[in-house]
Amino acid sequence: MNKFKVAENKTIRADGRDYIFLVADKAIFEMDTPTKTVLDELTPKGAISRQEIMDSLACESDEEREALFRGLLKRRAIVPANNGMFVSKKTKPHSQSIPLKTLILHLTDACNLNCRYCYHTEGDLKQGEKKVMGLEVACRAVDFLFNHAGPLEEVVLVFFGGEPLLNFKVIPAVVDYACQKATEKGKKINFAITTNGTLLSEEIIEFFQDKNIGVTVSMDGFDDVHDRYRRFADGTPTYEMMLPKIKRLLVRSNKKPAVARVTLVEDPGRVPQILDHLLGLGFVEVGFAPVTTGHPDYQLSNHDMDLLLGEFQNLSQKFLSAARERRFYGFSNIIDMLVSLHQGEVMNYPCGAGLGLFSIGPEGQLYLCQRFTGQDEFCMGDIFKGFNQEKLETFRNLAEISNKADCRHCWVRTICTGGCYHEACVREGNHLKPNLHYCEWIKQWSEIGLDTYCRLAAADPEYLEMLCMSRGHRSHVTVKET
Amino acid sequence: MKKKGLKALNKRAKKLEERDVFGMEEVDVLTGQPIGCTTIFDTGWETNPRPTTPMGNCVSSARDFTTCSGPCWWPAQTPDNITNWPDFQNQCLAVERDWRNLNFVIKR
Repeated sequence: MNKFKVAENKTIRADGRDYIFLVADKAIFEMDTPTKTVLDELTPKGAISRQEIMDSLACESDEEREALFRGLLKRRAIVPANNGMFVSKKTKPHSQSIPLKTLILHLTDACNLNCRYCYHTEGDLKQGEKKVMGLEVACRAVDFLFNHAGPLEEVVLVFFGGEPLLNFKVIPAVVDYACQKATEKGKKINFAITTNGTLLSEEIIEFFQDKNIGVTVSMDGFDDVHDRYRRFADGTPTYEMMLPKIKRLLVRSNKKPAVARVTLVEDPGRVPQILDHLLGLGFVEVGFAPVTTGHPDYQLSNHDMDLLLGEFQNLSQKFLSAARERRFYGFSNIIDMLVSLHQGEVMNYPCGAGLGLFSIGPEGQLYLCQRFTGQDEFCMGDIFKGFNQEKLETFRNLAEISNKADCRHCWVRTICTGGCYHEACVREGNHLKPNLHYCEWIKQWSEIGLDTYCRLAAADPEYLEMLCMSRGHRSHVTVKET
Repeated sequence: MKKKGLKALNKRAKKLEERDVFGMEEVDVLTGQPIGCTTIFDTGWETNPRPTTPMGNCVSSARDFTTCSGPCWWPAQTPDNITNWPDFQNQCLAVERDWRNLNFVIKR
């Protein structure tokens, strides 16, 4: 006889309503009270027969009972008891059929800053050997992108480094070439750059505006926080000198809003002030990431991580209050989480690295992502000879979530998928290991995310659609301009 | 009257809600079973619990008729977790890590 069980789930109670997050499916439902009661009652029983489930449903008629049972089964809140026993081995798409969506051009190894926490100086990029990408390589990279983009309508080209503006001279030519290629191929191309902001000039800012290039500025907050780690090679602080440039950028960047990315090293208690400061300057969004480093001096302590979680919770609350009034509060971390939850795409990999995203070294080598640029172990071929298919295939097989034994029964596995490869490489000693050092943190952050999601979905589902659209996802509903 | 049950919020949930329900239960039960072939860690297959052919036969043989390809093994070494020991694997959450926890099961 077929047995059933309640699917692996996380329940949330918010604003007097009950919600359920179905882990394996990444599906989120609101539950009415009778359903919640039944699921609560059935969960500890494990495998149960259909009759036992039917008996527990408080319904007036058999038809109603049948409909309710079918409804739960259809929505996969109840699943066959043997479900999940095996990891189903779906036929994987042939690697060559995964289209290339994003290329990150490592325009130069050189940087005019010497930030004390930088992963590049900790990694393989040795001082003294500064390679610079020439126009020829950059254009071949563009060709490579379009030749491997398959059916995609839109592709992305990112300028990165080192400090990419040290090699600004190639950017206008690459942008023109890429636009021309895009027209030939009938595709759309988006550009983005990540910069430390110290080399911005009127000319460069106008160019960004003119070509619709999205700008991310690495900036850590107020002068004292920012200057603590972000300094020129000779030790001069950078905040003062970049501030007028940033203000100019933010006044001009109205087509594509500029965002700030904060590397967090200490004092998480100041996160709200940093966020408001940067939003006050005119950044549309600000995202925070704890520094990735193997150096204990720069790592946030467990106590700091707890404090950070508390601050993130408060900021999520603030985001929610703003959203309820149809305002926007640019706290990137919660926005990313809400978009991920709303899209509900079950991921087998934590990110696009080595799938649809690669970084290109100055000489045309293909790396998993920008964080691994220059490290041979993570080189996946080059743009002239193409991918090293065997190595790439091996990576794709090993990096899949089903290979991470510690993740397999974790309730946030479809949200976190083991986390950043580079972080794992630095902190866990192997990029294929899950990031066990922040498991508990991610679980709690996911709970905050789910709680915020459910409250917002109940209050204003259209707002969630708008958030997703702002991140380039297609909407299923028509959203009115407000 | 308000419809009882679950109301979809995110896109994934809406997709599940929109699924065709015709003949759904049987199909759903079937798709819950493993698809594809064994790895060295898969301990084997189960007996067919459905009132359809091949009755009482092992699922892998049913699989032979439909989706099976490559080397499938006849079940022998495993407790059947559909009919008799639905929870036998609970102590072994990740098989390559926890396989030592698996113990004998003895037919009642």
